[in-house]
Amino acid sequence: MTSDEKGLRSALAAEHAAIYAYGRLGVLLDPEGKGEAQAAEAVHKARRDALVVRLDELKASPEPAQAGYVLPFPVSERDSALKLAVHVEDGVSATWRDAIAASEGEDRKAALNAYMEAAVRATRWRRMAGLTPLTSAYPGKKG
Amino acid sequence: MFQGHTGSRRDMLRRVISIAAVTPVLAACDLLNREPLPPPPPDPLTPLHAATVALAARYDAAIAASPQLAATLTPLRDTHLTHAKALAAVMRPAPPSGSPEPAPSAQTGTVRQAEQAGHQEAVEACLTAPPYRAVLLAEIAAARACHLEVLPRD
Repeated sequence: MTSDEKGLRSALAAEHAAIYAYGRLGVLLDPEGKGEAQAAEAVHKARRDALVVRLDELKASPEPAQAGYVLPFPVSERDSALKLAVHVEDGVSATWRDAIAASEGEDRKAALNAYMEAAVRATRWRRMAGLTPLTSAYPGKKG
Repeated sequence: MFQGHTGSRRDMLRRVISIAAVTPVLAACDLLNREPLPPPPPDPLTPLHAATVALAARYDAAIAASPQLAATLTPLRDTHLTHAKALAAVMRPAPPSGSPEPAPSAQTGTVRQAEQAGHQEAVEACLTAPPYRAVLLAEIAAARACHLEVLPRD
């Protein structure tokens, strides 16, 4: 498997997990947050579908979603739901960031857009959650 | 003193002869008439680096003009300075020290417009960069996209 394919497969796994998380957290938010969560979930589903098509083209057998995911912490009300949304988008942006170096052409463009959009959503959720700092010099970079 | 002078004349003459004897050899080796090497071409990141420094300066001006926005603008300004340093660290040759010419994109309009232009520049740089530079340029593009999320709307 090429490193481009590996990056795309990791991105697909992150998108599956994000879709699951939004299904759990969206219902706990106020109307504004719910709207954001629905829009975000739709974007993650579109990315997932595009990734499945691309991995099929590359004959790199896309993995289906798992039946369930273990959440990183209990999510039972608005604050923890917002925290989960931040956690999800940070994770998705980190995964797409990792896919950039090995990609080129249209794959790089798609990875860059997905990375930037996830970083922006993480910022938006931080603002709604009242978390600071809102931004960082290297979004999605661990450590 | 006069004696010393006279005494050294023969030495001087000998030295001139020896230089004359050696010169054709050196010339043949191409040691003396080689043109100085042309300066290396500037790094392809030069415009982005200059624009990044200018963008930070644009924030400085905005903070001075609107101190009530300092809490929002200062961390963003600091991020641009961090990026300018990170770009300079990978550029070969390193960018000239001192303030580069302000980039046109950062000279006019609001901070938000300057940030938007800077974001577009970083995106384009990322899409054409070799793999070893693509991640840094993507990070810069993503950070600028996040700045647009927190900047006040014009």
